[in-house]
Amino acid sequence: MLTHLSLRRSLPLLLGLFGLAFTLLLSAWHLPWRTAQTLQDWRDHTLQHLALLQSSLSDHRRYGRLAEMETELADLASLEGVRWAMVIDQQLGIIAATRLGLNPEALTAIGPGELAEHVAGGRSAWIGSDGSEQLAIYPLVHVTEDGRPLREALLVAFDIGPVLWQTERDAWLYLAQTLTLLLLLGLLLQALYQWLITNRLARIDRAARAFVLDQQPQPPAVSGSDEIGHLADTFSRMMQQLHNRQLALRQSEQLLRELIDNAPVGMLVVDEQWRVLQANPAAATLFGCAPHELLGQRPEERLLEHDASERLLRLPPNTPLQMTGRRGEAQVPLEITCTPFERHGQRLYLALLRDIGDRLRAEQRLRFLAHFDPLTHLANRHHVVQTLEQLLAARTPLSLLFLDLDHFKRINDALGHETGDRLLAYTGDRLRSLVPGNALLARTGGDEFMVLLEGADAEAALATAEGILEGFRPPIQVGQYECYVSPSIGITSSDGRTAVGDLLKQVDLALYAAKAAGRNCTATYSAELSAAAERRRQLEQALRRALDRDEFVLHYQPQVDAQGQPRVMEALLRWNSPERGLVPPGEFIPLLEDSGLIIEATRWVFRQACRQARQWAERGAQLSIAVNLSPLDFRQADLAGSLLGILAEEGTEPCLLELEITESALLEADEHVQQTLARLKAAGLPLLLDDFGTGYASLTYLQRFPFDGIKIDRSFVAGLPDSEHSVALVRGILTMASHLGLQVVAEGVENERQAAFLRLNNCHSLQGYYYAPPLPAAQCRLEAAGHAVPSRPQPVDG
Amino acid sequence: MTRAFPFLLLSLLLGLAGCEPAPDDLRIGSNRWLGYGPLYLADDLGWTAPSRVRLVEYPNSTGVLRGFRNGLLDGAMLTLDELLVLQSHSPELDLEILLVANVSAGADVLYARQPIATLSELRGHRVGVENTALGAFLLSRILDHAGLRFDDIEVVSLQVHEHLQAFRSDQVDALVSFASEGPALERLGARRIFDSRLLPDEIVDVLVVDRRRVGLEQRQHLAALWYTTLRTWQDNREQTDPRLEKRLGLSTEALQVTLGGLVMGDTSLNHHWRSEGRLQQGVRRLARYLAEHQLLGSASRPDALLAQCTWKAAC
Repeated sequence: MLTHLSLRRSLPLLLGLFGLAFTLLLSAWHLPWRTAQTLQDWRDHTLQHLALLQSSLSDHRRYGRLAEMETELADLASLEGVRWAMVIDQQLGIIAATRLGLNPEALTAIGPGELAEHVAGGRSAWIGSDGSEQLAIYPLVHVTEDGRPLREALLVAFDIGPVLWQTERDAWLYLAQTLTLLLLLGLLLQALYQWLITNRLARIDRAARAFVLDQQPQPPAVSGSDEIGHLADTFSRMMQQLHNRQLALRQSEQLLRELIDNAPVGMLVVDEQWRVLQANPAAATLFGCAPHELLGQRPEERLLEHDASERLLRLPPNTPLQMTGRRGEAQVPLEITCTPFERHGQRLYLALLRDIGDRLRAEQRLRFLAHFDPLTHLANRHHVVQTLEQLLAARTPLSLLFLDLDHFKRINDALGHETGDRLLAYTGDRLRSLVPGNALLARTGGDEFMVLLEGADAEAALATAEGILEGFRPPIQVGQYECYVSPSIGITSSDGRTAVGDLLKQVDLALYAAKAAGRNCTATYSAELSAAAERRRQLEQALRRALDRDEFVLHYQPQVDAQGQPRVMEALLRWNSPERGLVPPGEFIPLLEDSGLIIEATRWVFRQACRQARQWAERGAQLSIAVNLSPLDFRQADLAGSLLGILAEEGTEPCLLELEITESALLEADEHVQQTLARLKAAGLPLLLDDFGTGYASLTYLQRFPFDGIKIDRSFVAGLPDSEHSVALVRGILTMASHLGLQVVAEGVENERQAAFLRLNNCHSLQGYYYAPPLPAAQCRLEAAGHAVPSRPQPVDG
Repeated sequence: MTRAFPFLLLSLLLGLAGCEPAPDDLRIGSNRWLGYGPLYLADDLGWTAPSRVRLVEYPNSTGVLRGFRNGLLDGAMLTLDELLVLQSHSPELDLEILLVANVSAGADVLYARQPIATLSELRGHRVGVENTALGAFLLSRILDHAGLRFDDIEVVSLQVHEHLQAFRSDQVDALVSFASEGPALERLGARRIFDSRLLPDEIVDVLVVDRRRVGLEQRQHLAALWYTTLRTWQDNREQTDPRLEKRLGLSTEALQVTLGGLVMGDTSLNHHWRSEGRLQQGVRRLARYLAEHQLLGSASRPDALLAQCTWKAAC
């Protein structure tokens, strides 16, 4: 109960209660007790006094000392509470009294008869025990001279009223003093209490209130090292901490607000009905308005979807939802996520709005790139494959055309990639005009295109392919260039039961076949194509093994001088397969080249040639060996290093070897090829340009590269001496070569007339079946011979 | 709560603390002598109790002196010589003459049997005298007047109430007694040969208090009670005389005779005695006399008995 009262009131109240209790206790118990006690004390005291007096007075009486008796009575009467005293005889006559004029027979307390009885009885008595006036009767007995006992008595009248009154008065005075003291003490306590406690608490309270109002931390409201001082200290520290925390919070809030205001993401705080309570500038920007205009608005007012509210209310937390916002007349694709949170007990949502226009466009672009070729805007390989899968899954009959632009690389190299790209784009355009409307046209990579003809049989596909070939006859104008582009087309058809992979292989084979058939033509897939491809594959595997198993052999065909003396032996690679027998070079050389095995084969050939040359030289034969280099050999990083390394390893003189290089090897004549050739020549290896006259720019090569000689292609020799055309060309070549100081070798010499013509025209180095077919080294004749009949009528090479 | 309230309380507390228990009654001892009549009258009229004065009646002044010395009394009615003797014997008492109660002018008498007619005839006779200080003083002064010494007479010590009987039974030839005894003695043939009129201003009764026990206020009350009662007595003799007769055991005649030999100490007498220095002179003279006659124990301090003029009414 006390805690409900102010401290200023509770203490006085307590003291008041104590005072009241004290008063009640004193008046109800202490006062009557004290009165009775006082009375008792006084009476005991008086009785003792009277007992003493009794004997003294008896003595005075016995000896007749009346004055002494009266004096003693007077002494007694001087005592407080004694009104009078007298000594009377049995007849109630006064013997001595404290004053004159008293009459023992007219006492109020006792009648004369009774008094006389008391005196005669010789007993002491106390009369009037209750009242304030009391009478004590004490017998004084003495014996007269004649032996008669005399009964006399001492009478003392008391008035104890004043004594009682005094006692009572003292008690009340005591009470009043105590109460006053208590009151004063209470006031003092109250003052101290106020000074020490309530005022200081009030100061702390004021400081706390001031803090509530202005949030400024206060110094300790009171000093002192007592509990309240500590409390004030603690309060002050607490305020400081609160202030610091608030400051930090405010800064953090400021930062957050700035973050929110500057966030590129639209943020809205919405209630459970999705009414906007707060909006950041980014959100307003999304809708093209000021943030305050959004407040209180519902989703329908800003979103295009008429059921926006419904959808948003159903939206699970943190799940993005795409909607369309209105920005004036424009539409903004938005992604909206909402996160629930609670503020002041109210459930709210933080909605994040992102303009996903850019993203959608990027996605669209990605989707486009995934399925289309950005250059030609045609479908890409992936798209075609997907479509194929879909169609084949539905067992739809279809045909597939696979186009490859012939020699596109050359155009690219000659005119640059930019022109090449533009050419590809125009090619796409032209193709689009040449294929049926329902065909899926795709660029599947580089200069490859595919046409997917849904529902078309082989015949229709072929017709389309022919149409395409026809359509590409006119040149394509790229800038200032007129480009003649011809495609090779592979065709395959399916009844819808072929696997996609198979179909793609088939069309690939068909294209390969078309290219093999001389380009700018079509080839339709057939089982034979597959079989041929299979064969080639097996052959390739066998070739790989052949290198390991040493199944290759070198045959040598001599180049003879005017006297028929072999001067140079051309090393020709032969494959002596255990399964296939001696495989013609036309069958396996292209395969070696296609599979890249040619590089290793060339190294083997060169090494073998080195050894053979050395053997022949050791036997005293004046022979060198010519080794053919494939165009592919020049694609390896260090052809010169590799060959010179072998030369060194085998310890063969470079002059014992010659290198024959076909023009096609020089087609991609770049710095690398030139350096390689220069290095080989510097090492002392003679270089000869093989198949001279068949290439595009044979004369250019002679100028650019340090050739020592040329070999006139067999096609020129074959027409000699009857073909005027051939005669003129050969004579021209020989004249030019003699002027340039080049050695000339004519190959494919098959009869006497050809040999005679060539010799007549100063070509002294001849090679051909007329002299000798290629033979294993052991069978080669190293001296000049007569005009031997070729053992094998069919020239196979060189 | 006003600011004055605590001070009020504080003063109340101090007041209560200073409030001594009601002072005890002022006990004034007295023997039954008409010169002290106003006190008996006041007691009889019931005026003493309200004034907190208690009259303690002793059969003689010897009892009074003893009671005073024993601390049973706070004040007493005494003759001046008794006072001086009391002061000299009880230096612990701080005595002050509050007022002059009466001056004896014939109230103290020397009666003598025929044929003794003059003082000088007392030589060789038996002289009864109360064995009190006053008795001794009176006798001494009588001898002075008679030109006799103590050796010249035979002193018979008697109580006051024994005087008549002793005279009747011829135990004494002369008696130093009071005028109140006069009628009875004269009937037995006694003759007044000397009285206090011949000792002017020498036989003086005073109301004396112990300063230590009686406060100034109480002294004032006491004096006021005396003067008031005295005036009441003098103004209402018819009503008051019977009371005094009863209280003092006097016949009407004795009262009249005694009163004739007394000059009551009223306000004006006291004023004159003090202002004229008669009291002081009387006290000094008496002290000197007593000292000369070895009646005083040790050196008396007569001036200490006089009020220091602290209250106007008494000066």
